[in-house]
Amino acid sequence: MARVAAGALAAEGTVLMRYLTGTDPAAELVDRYVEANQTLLAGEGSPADQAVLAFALDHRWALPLLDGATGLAGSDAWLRQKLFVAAAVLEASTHHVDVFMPGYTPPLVMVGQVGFWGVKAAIKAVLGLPLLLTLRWRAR
Amino acid sequence: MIDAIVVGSGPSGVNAATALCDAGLEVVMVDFGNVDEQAEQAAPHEPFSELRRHDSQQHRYFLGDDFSGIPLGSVEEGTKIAPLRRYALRDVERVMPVLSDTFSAHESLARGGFGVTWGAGSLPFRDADFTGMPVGRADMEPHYHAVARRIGISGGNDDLAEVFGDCGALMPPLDVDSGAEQIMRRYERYRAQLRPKGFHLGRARVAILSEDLDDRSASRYHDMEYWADTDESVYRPQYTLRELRKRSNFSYEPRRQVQRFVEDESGVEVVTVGADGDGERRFRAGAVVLSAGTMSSARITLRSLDRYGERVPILTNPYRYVPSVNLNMAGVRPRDARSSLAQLSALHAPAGGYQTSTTSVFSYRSMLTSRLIGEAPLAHRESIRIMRTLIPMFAIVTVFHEDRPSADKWCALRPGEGGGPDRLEIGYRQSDEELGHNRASSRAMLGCFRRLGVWPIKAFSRDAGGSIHYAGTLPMTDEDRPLTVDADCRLRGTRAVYVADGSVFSPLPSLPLTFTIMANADRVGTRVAAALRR
Repeated sequence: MARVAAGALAAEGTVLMRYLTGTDPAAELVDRYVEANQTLLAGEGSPADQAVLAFALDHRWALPLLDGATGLAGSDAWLRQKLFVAAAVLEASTHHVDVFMPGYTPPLVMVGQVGFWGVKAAIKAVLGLPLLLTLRWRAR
Repeated sequence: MIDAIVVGSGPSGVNAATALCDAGLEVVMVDFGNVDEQAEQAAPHEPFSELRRHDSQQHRYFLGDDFSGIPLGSVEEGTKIAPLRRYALRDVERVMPVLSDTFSAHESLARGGFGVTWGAGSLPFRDADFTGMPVGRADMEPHYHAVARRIGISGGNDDLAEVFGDCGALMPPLDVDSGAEQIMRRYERYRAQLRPKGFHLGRARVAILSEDLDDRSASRYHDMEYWADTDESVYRPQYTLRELRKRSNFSYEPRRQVQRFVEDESGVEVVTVGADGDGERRFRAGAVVLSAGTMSSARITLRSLDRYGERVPILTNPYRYVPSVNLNMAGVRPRDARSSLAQLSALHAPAGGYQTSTTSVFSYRSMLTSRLIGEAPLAHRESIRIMRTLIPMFAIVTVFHEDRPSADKWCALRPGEGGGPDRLEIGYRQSDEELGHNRASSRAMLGCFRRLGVWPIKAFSRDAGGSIHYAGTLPMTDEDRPLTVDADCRLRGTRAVYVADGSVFSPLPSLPLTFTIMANADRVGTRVAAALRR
């Protein structure tokens, strides 16, 4: 049972980390994701949490939308917490330093980038919220 | 016979013990003394930016082997204990339980106490900060000097020197980072407007070496101080303990928890139990100096005097953590070499005002970007990229307020149940007037920072006790009443039991307390030595 659970976590971690960085994660990072989840998120989550997570993993197109929507829904959403763990594991490694490491950005470029990503995040949230609410309602 | 027993190895204990040893006395330090030898070896002595790129083991100190460095839930601020230092909290809940719904108590049984993780802020109290106590700045001055020379404090000759004096023993100030440099430049432009409001800003005075001192090296600006002591530039009490253990008139008894003291005609005995559950052991001396921390010294005293259920005061600095945007950094390329602890300090003390508040300013650069994204209501993928771009412009402003005793701020010792340890019950509530004053003081302080181009994003008020600044359980007073100490910090009703930690300070100013605790401990040590020689 424990091995199956670890395998499922590994598959989950691969999907989430690939979403965050755009590349396949190194095996050590997947292993660390599994270990972090087994330590920090050892429960199974509510039926609604499980439904949202399962849908996001099975329908990759939905993951960005649900990521955006759970940002509005609150930090205790299961998917949101797992993405947070995935991000922390990715960052504390040598593999994706440029994704996370702050650096100098000229002011106009900064405004443009923040505006672009901010709008993207807002669109995701708006499109994802109905999906999130539907999944939660169906899981009741 | 032992001349003096010092209880605890934190900032107060090691400085009291040093003063006693310097006076030629035989000193024993009794301490719980948790350590983690491997912890401090885990982080290499390299700059943060290099470790991020090259160290394949960085997850061990950034996240921790137990992943305690991943803060699920609300982001906690710089006072959150880094993974390698979490051993400072080990065993506390088991041996020193606290009962409270209104107070978030943090204690340590580590060797060095909470000094293993303190932020090193080292401002002395002004004369006004001793109001209500039977000692003043003049009494402390030589001890501020002694401690500053002993531990190494760096600071500038700026507006803070005008307010606090220079203690005569400061090392040159550390270089500030680019964000602080820009704030200081703006302060020079608006200084004439801000100072009449009671606002003073300067480089943080911190117990971080800007020059080599004894076996310790000056800071190399690796920006790793929050995560680990990769060098010894930030003062930790265990460095003083290391020096003490070289002395022939000092011995260290770790793995012992002091339960109580018993005084008789010939001296004072401390009764200890083993940290590992082994049996009772007693130590006898001419005097005992309690330096176990504000709450622990209260526990030991109340238990020793059989004052279960009796309330004593407790104070803590209310504290706000304010992530902010430093607009001065727009278009400024940040320097890589920097220290990650406080860059600037500010005091807001309006004339005739009720409150002073004290602020430290930190940059965010050596914190992990992922810690911020949990707070932003955005999709993670975009949030990472936004935060990465904005972090060079972030500043963390921490605001501390003073605290004064009232009937609603108390602690009491309750007997253990079923053979378990005694519990310290704590009740804490600020009055509406106090809350109003704190809010007004914060607004005024943050208003000054807006003028300096530092704009708050959101102010997080920590739970009472979250500042980890505690005081006032055995206050120093001229009044001869039980459960207080006199001007020498001798516990009233005893001949030779002294208290040298934060317990004795009441009221509690907004300034960082640890430097004054250390200076007072040095003073108490000299007083005890003089008393024993009489």
